[in-house]
Amino acid sequence: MLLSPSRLRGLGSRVPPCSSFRPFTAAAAAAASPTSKPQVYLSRSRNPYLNLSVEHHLLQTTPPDSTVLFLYTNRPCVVIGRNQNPWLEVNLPLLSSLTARTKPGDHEPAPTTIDLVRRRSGGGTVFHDPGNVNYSVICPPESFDRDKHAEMVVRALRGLGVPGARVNARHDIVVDVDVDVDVSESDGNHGANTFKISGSAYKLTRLRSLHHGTCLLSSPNLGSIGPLLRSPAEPFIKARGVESVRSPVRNVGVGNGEFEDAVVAEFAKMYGDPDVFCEVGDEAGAVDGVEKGMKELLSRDWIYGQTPLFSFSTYPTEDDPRERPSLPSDFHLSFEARHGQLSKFTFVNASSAGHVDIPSSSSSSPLDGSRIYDVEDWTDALRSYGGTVNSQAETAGRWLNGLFGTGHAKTQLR
Amino acid sequence: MISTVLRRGALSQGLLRNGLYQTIRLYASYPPHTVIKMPALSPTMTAGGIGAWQKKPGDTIAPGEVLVEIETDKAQMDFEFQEEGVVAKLLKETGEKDVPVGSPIAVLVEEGTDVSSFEGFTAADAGGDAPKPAAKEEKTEFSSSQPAPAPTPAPEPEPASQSTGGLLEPSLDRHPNATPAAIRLARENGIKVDDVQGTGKGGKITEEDVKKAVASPATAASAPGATYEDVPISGMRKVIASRLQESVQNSPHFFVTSSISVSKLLKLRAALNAASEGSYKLSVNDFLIKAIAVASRKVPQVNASWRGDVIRQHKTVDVSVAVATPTGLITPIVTGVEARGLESISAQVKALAALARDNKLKPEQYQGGSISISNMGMNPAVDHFSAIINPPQSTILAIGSTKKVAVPAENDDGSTGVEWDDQIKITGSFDHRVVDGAVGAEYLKELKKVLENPLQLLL
Repeated sequence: MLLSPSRLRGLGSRVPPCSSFRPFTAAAAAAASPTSKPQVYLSRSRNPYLNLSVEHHLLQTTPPDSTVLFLYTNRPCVVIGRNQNPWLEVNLPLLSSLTARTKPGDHEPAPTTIDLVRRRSGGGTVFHDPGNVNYSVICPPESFDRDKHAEMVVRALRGLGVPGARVNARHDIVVDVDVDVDVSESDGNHGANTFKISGSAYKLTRLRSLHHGTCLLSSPNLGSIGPLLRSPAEPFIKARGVESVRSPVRNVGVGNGEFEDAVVAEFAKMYGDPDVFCEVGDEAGAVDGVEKGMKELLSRDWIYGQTPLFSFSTYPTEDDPRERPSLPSDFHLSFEARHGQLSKFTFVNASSAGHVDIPSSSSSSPLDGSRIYDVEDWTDALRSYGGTVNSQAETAGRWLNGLFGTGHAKTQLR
Repeated sequence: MISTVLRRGALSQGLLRNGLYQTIRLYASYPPHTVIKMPALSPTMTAGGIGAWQKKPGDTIAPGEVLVEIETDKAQMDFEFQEEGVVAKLLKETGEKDVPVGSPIAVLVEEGTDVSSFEGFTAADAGGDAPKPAAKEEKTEFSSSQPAPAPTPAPEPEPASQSTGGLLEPSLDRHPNATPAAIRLARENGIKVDDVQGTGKGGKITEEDVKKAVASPATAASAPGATYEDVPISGMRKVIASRLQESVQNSPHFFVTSSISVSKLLKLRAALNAASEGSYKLSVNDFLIKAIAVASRKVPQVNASWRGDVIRQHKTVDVSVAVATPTGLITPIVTGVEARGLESISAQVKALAALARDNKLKPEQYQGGSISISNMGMNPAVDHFSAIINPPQSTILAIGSTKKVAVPAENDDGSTGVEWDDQIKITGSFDHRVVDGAVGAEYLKELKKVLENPLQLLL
């Protein structure tokens, strides 16, 4: 009973839809039964919040001894890791300018919108768009290996005519490419140029292990990724949490359909013909577990509030002695934010004192206790600081808006 | 006072059994508490990042509940706590990176303790962070893993096709003077492009040159004639190296060897296996493990460990069994051998060995142990050997291979002849700080007694 996608497509029929997401309904015979071992799900939705929630739901509900492959493609979005800091990793003002204001009643985001998503697995920040296919393998912890399924994708790519593909020491998939200029040896790159085409991240629970990765096939946006992932606030922020590791990237140059078929075929070679093989669409959002997951992923508390402690200051401090770029006027501004909640917020004239006094817990700073991601416009927020610095509220506020992407009516994420 | 002592006794038994080496502390003016340390969530983890805390001070935690999320090498994991109690204080912030395994991360107290008294408690109060692992990229583990110190040969590394020649290359020389095609061809054929004689402009190495080098590997210009090769040291090897060295340098070892007749043991084993109907298959090693525990009842000093200021006398016999894996030696533990039957020991050893070979052992499965066994009996060349003690234990038994030995025997007619006896040589290595010479010898005597008359295992 071979269910290879190419077979099915050859027969003129499409991959069957997961009928009312059958595996997750009460009548869930196939996927939940202990006899289902390999399972393959293909997503037709481009909604990153939905796709990640489906993936998480698969992680939580598929039988403990099953091995599941899930392939999905997202509309343009920036995806940060579980413990990362969006103010540090992402160019929020650029993102915000691309996110057109939607009116209530709009069902699709405007074409230039780039979503911001925080996933549940670790690792760094990546950019997704329809030219990038994501693969996700869920398996029992005993068979978990960081490279095993990356190697599987490499075999699929080699079969598609990408001979230079391999897994590197960071468990990412890279391609070695020959160039016509003088080559130099570095990092064991065999004297050729090496580009990253896929990054990996993992989530390990007691019962299941998840490995997912991207794969840059034909993204039209490669040139724009760089600016999007460089935050203007970076010189001022000292953060805990995971930092991203930058690599030069490149498209593989195969089609999404071909790639999906090849990966499914390699998966079937490893684990046998899948017992479950179906398509997931936007209607999966109605399934209980998926809906709950989406709500969490969409909430600002999750996206912004799950940020570990970080400090921001316009002047060098003991903790962060880096030189700072110049400011538009003479003010000192600093704060700490723990889970997005502001504390020790200081806004004073630069010329007032040689060193800056951080407010002690006894003195009250108007913004302490507010959530940084609730501040819609810093010019308004800073006006609550009286005294001589008040005259700088407009300038400083506009500057902060420029760093954090605030200062115009925010879109409502759905 | 008494109630504190009693509580300490009860709680630490459970903690020791889990191998988590957390002890109740009586420290300054703080109520009795336990310091929770950063766990090694895999045998190769050396440090991790603290993620979201799932419990805050004042919350109760039950076994199996997630205390905190941990991130290591792009993997998000849940730290499921195995004890119960109340969280008194969190010592690390969410987002703190590279917290070494073993560093204090939180404080646990018993139900009913006043949590607010821990408000000012810091990591320094808990004893400070564990030392940082040597290199961030190496996945080595120092204090937590206990690979067997027995001198077993490590698997041979794959011979690489390149040699370094030993000299520092000036930076100019590092750019190979070759065409991209030549470099690719050399790479595909596994030869170092630098070793190829270049015939192009300015000595540039062309594809033709590489093709010739591939075709005639005997010529001096091409294949590297390596007289040695530097193999990078793996994480596991580093751990084995440091622990063995520590053991030999710190424990005054002495060795006692005994030749033990196992003829009766082998007969008993055959008989039990014949009656098993496939439900178990006992090995000699299983009997040895059981015998080690039985003999420890008579000479408990060998089941103790040197702790610096005290000698810890273990009440249970947890035997660390040396297992050779493709990556090195590791010692999973069979716990509570004194209470287990041979069938249970056999099943445990098989299960742990399989996990060890797949590198899937959980920390509590290889951390701890009160005495060790290292069996090289499957290698007929080994008559006997002396093993290195697994710190902080004080004893390890090294098992040689079975030999047929001629022993004097009475013939039926009264004359003396010989008969053949199956014998093994067992060498005990003991830490003289804990076990004196005569005590070690006494232990071997008890071990010999029970192995030569295996029905005594029943006593």
